[in-house]
Amino acid sequence: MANSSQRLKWIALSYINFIENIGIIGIATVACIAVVQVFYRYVLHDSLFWSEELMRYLMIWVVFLMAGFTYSRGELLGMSTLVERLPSKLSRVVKLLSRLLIIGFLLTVSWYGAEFAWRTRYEEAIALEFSMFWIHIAISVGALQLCIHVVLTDYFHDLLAEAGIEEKELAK
Amino acid sequence: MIWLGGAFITTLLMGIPIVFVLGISALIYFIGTDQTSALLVLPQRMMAGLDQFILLAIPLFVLAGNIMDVGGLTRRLLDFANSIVGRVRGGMSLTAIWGSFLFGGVSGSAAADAAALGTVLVPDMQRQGYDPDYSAALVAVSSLMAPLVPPSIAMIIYGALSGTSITRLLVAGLVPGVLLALLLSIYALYMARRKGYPAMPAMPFSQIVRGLMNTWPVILLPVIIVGGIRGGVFTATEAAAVAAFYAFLVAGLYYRALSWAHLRRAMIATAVVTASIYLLIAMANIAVFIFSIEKIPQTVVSILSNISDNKIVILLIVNLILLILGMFLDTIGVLILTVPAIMGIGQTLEMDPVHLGLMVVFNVLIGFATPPVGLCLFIVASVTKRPIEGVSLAALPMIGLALIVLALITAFPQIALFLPNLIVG
Repeated sequence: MANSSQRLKWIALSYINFIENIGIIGIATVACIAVVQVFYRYVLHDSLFWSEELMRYLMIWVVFLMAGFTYSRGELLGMSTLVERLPSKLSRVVKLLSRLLIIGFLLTVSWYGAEFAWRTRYEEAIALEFSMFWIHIAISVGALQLCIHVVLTDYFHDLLAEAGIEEKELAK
Repeated sequence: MIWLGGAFITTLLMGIPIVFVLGISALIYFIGTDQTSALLVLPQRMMAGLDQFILLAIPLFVLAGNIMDVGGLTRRLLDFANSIVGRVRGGMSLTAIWGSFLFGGVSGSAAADAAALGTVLVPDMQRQGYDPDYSAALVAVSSLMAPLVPPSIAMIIYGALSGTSITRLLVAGLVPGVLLALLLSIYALYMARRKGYPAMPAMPFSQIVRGLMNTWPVILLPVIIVGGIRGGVFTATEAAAVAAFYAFLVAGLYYRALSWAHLRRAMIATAVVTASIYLLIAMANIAVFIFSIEKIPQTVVSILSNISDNKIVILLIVNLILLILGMFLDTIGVLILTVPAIMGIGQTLEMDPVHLGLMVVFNVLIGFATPPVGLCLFIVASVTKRPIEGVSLAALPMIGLALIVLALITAFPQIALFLPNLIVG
């Protein structure tokens, strides 16, 4: 039992690490392209034709892959004053209901997101010339991943809190 | 409309994150009005909202701020502010106000400013005998200056949505920022006299020079940004790229404080902040689509022009609505939702778009720190572990001062416009 929960934790931590790396690589790449673009345009007087498009699409993928992590880090703020003041039983019911609503919404977005991507599969990116399917599917993937994070809200909350403490100790 | 409004208020009060509040109420609207065949617009509108080049300015500016925040930059800025204004009675509170102003040149958002300064300043002020609630409230209200000093995410988004010159908006924010800082300083001096808060030891001139040497690359950043976008040399996104590169050079070469671990943290933080802003934009874009189906902007304009044809009265009502929305929603959310209607009102009243934009952004910001539900108050209350009631009460007079500044810029467009006219032309 302890072993399997350890393994689960290892998988979850590797996943978090993977998502963090996507964020790092994504932001670093966007920043580098942006700087190179400025350099080309103002120093070499030769604009890059692909840089704008690549940055836009890269950022969209980074955002949707980071969505769940962002939720679990508690960065998506809400007005929780009222719910926190309810008696604990009622508050738990409201929180459960909230999560069900969010999950329902995300599943809908994921479903229609896939349909949207499929319908636009013959559209091509202007400069980069690949199917827009590969960009538009990001919504569906992101919504599904976010959904998993909402279902496992408490698990990820504890996990990230623990990891945060470790990082602070390392920083010392 | 009833479906959208009802679902919106219910889910908001349930404590659902605002991003989902917008999405869920849109979904309920489509189901309630029997338009489920139109649900394909959900991903379509989300994508349309995000696929804009100007938005890339957000991660790049955030990255610049995060990289700059290296080797105790917050501390250095506060020390510099302290070396100048700390010597009078209540010096520490003046340091908080002007340190926050300087910090605004690095961070483009009030929330970041409030969290960063709240953690550092409030314990310091408490040690000097300041009332902790007063200290927390002062930091919360001072943090409103961050989006007024360039770079400002709120101004960029307003400019992008309304097609207003982003450079002029960025420059226009400075004057109300300084006005707010001055009024807050007067209030802080008055409170210090009443409560007997101490002065800080006076620093010799050499200390001020040393502080300046420590911080000038940071203070220069807004100048580079405004200078860069001015006259269309750079677009806002390109200026943001230059800012990020500049921050990298300053942190790496000038402060020699850039480690791999720090860069890593800065980039993760940037990705997370960007994700939360982008998701909000995506969802708000669905709501805006519904507004356009329901002709909400036109309705709002016609209702307002039926109430009165007096410019000041209409602006007063607009300000009141924005203030209330700003209390409940995120700054960016309010901007996206209201700009279509606001632009209509601006045209009817023949207002300068920069003047209008400044008024709107400042107003929404005030809502951000207004009791009892302003998000900024919650951030400061939570990082300082103070009860929200006490902080709210202490913030009230300061919010009053911010409202005075708002009234001034609403009534006298020159306050908003003279600096952009002078610098940008």
